Amino acid sequence: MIPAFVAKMGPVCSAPMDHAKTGMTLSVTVEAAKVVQAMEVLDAEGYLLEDVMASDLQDGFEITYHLSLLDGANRLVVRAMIPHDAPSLPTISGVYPGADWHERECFDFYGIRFEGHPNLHYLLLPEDFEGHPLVKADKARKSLADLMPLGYLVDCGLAEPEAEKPKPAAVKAVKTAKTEDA
Amino acid sequence: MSPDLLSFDHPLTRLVVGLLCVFAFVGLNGLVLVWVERKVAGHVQLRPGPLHVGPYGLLQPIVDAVKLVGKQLAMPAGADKYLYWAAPLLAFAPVTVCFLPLPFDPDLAPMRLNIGLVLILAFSGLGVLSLILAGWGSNNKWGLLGAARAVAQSVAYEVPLLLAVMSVAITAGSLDLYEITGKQGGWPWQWYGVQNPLAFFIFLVCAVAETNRAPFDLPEAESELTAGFHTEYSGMGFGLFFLAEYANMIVVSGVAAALFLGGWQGPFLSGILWFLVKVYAILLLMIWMRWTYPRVRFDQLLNLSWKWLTPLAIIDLALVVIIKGIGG
Amino acid sequence: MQAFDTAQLPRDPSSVRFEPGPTEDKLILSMGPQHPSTHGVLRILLELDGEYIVRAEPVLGYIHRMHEWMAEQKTYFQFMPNMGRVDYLHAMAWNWAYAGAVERLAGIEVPERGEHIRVAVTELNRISSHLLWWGAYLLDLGAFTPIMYAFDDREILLDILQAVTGSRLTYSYFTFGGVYNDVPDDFASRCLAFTKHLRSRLPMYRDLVTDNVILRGRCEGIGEMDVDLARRYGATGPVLRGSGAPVDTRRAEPYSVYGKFDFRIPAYSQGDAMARYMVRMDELETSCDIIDQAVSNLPDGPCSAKAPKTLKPPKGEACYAVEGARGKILVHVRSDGGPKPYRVKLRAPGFSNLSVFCELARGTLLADAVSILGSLDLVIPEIDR
Repeated sequence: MIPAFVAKMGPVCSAPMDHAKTGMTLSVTVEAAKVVQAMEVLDAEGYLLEDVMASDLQDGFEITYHLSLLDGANRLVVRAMIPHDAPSLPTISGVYPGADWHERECFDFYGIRFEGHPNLHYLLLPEDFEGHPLVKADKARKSLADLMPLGYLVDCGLAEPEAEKPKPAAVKAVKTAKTEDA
Repeated sequence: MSPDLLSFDHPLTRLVVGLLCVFAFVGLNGLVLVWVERKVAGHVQLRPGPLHVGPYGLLQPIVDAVKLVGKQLAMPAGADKYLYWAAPLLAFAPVTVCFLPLPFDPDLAPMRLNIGLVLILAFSGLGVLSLILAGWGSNNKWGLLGAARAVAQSVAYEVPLLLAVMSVAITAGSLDLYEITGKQGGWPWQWYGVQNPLAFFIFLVCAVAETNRAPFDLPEAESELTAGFHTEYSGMGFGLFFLAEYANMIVVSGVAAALFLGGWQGPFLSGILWFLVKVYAILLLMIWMRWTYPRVRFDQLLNLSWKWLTPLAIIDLALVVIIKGIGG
Repeated sequence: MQAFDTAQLPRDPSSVRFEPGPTEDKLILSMGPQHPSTHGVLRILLELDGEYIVRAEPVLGYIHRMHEWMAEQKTYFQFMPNMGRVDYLHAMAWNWAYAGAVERLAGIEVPERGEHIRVAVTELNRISSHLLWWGAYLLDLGAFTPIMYAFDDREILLDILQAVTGSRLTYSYFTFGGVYNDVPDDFASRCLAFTKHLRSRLPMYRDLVTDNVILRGRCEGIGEMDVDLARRYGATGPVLRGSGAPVDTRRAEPYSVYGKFDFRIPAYSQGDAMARYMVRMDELETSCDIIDQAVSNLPDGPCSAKAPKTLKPPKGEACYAVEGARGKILVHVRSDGGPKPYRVKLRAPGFSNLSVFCELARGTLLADAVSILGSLDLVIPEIDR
């Protein structure tokens, strides 16, 4: 199911994730321009759009779409990176009408412009609000590499289902935290 | 040989005294009804109701009234000044007239008319006019929607109400409430409500709808139209609408008691006591219904009237006419 | 009639956008933010033709508090109390979603007793949320009394939760690794007594309210939505289950110890307001079943794992999905290894559920819109966050 989706999308970067440790099963990174195509494929497969999340990173704004099938632990995350100076990507509200408000929320908080959105105005913020509250100062921004756990595998070839790879990141965490506490 | 103006036999004197008594009666009953309504509502809802002002909270309605009188009378910008203030007066004034022909007791007649029933029906029909004026004059969209609902509802329910009343009038052969009451006896099987239960039922449903009480309180549907036609009214402007609603309830209950429940007559102790007992029994039923049922939707309300009550009332009327014709 | 110049009124940006604006026979009506049946401060712009709704557009943001920004300014622990304020009716589920995401990130294991207590209090909270919804929904439909009965039952339950958590509404009971305090000794017996009491009340509610012909007339066939519509709008929870899909996060991706419990997932296929109503009424029983199982064999041991005081989860990200009273709650936390989260995203189920409203309300009567709005079970602070 998941490889089928990846195959339909052509070459994308995908990273299988451990649901027990991250709550996600697969992360797929696509080009911003291909987001709508990805959503069309996922819509046809019966995915439910849970959420659209944006994060402000050094590399640009990362848009994360959470999707899942109606049953089972199968959260799929589609990501797209867009630059800070031209924060725009195509809207998916044509495919998932529920994305309408999520995209408006991203516009509120980050100023990301969704091309083709029917009604891109402030949703939660007052109309006369200036700026976008969740945009970080340059200093505070972290790069994608700073936020990725160790051993995070990204496969950018034509994906084959990856076997379980060890992910040592989470295990060490408590230990380090504890030592600092003491 | 016209009687002296100061004599109680003079019709004008009787009218003035009667009206004064009616005002006193309406005011007192309004207060009592407010207390009864709140107390019943409280007990229906697992709470004690008014408790602390006076014994059993009996003085609560007076405190409420004083509060209402003390409040500022506000008028929204852009409202029509004359219509806006005329509406609450117009809501209250006709109701008081409706009390005049009510047969409280054979010896207690403010104004005995041979067409008393027609007078009541005519003046109670005026009430809806005040709702229209209130809704339109207050320059408020909720008010306007409430007014529109009030008109449609009033038109729809006046028809079966009149048909139900007519069947009783034909049975009794009179439009005089005293005569209609007198034709019935003290025992339940002598009442028109028992002899003609369909007309009684239709009358009760229509009475609830005509007085805009739940589950037919659409012109003021709180959860849909905030407060409908009286959204913008404050203080005694609202108070008069409130009082008019209770006065209307007493009128329709009084008419129902007279037409269907034998009025002042009872197995023992005939007189005004029985009349009041019957009126309050119907009032309690209306209060009980209000605190039990959800509100119907507007199209359902109209359907109920046009598709069910009106045909049933016509059938009932036809039956009454046939029986009367056969019986001679 | 005196002249009245509407141009003098302050400009309302939301209704100006509501193009093409009032035509000859259309009425633009602003329902809310102070309206009895918008439950708080939701505002809905309606374009009416008579009493029929041509278009409806919710206007949000009247109680927006920017929780996601607050999350980035506070340490992991300090943000915890915020979760009780997001959805004040099902605070426990939000507690859980956030705690769960951070636990996943930091790799903290919750002891068995902690999991059982979490399940019990979350389900109790779900019952209190559903009872309040039930009363408020009937209030919307014009029945004044059921809310008092619902509150009567809810009171017992809130007393139990108060004894456990110390608060009655905005709980902040969860901590990373378990729960703050262990439950009192009589917790299990009180829970069992409550579920017994509630089960005895439910038939009465069914007879008195659910089977009422007026209520059925107001709910049946109103706001119909099929699974596909719900899916494309991201509607979850009772709204999705009312469309016929027996989807529940507790079963679909079992978190905590839900996998151990035996419970039914109610689903009705009509997709109307009545179906959503029935789902919630059935869920009261479902929650009772889960509570019974969770407290009747409460394991011994600690109620919480030892988590470090200044939590610094490793770099990475984690999602945690929880079935709230209103649907799927999803919290996504990204960490840069520091003491504060880099990004916290809160997915509120009500947000997606409300977005279906424009679709459902089109062509219905104003009174139906109230019925639909109520059947979606909205908590505005959760939608506005």
